[in-house]
Amino acid sequence: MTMRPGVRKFALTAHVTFSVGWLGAVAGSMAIAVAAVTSQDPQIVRGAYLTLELTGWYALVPLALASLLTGLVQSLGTTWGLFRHYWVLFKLLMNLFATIVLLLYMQTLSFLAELAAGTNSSGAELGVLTSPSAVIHAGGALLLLLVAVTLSVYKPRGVTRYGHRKLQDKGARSQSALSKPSLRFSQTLG
Amino acid sequence: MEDLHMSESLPRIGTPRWVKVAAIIALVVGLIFVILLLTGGGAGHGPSRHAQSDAAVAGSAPSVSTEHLVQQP
Repeated sequence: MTMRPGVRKFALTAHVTFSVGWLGAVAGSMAIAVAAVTSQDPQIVRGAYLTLELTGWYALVPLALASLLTGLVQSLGTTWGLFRHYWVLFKLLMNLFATIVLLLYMQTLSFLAELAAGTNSSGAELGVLTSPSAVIHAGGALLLLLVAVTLSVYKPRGVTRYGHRKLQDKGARSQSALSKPSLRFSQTLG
Repeated sequence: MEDLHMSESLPRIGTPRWVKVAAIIALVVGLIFVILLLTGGGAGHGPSRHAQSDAAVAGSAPSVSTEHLVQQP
């Protein structure tokens, strides 16, 4: 089912907004994660993890899910399709992977934030907070989302086997639609 | 002639080079991740980490690099 131009434009705007918003939120998280790992001040380390958890649950997760949902609507509601072009398929796989990793990592982040919030935490417990895990996750997400943005802008050529079949079907249908009026015309003449 | 026209308008079938390169990169990254997990290079990393943290934290000593985080009484 193809969307009408007005709806398609709205869906595209929503998808770009959520996706670029996700990228921005990841960039912000990266800055906070670097501060958490490199800072010598325990207050900054504690504050960083509390901020990371809030950013995760209230910005990263909603934006990731919204990006995935609007991306599905955008591809299924236009002629691009979901499995027809390699770049669309790649973006879907990358979005799914990033969202799953994010949801899994949020459990770890919640635990770390709980640890950071504890006023009676020991040195060993707080030592866990200096692990570079948050920076690695944010860096990976940043890289993945930048690749996704690049794919969206460049739309590199390449049609899947399924997409090729669909195009052939469409071509055959338009050929038969073109030949029908001429057939009727020749019959009338005959 | 029509067939020729149709084959010209349709994109070429076959996997493009950029797809092959991207698939190889994804495979290599995935393999490195699995190797790190199996060899313990990524110890303390992964979704199961938070489940083990209570036990791991209780049994570990503060490292030199993190001593600055120890709360002073």
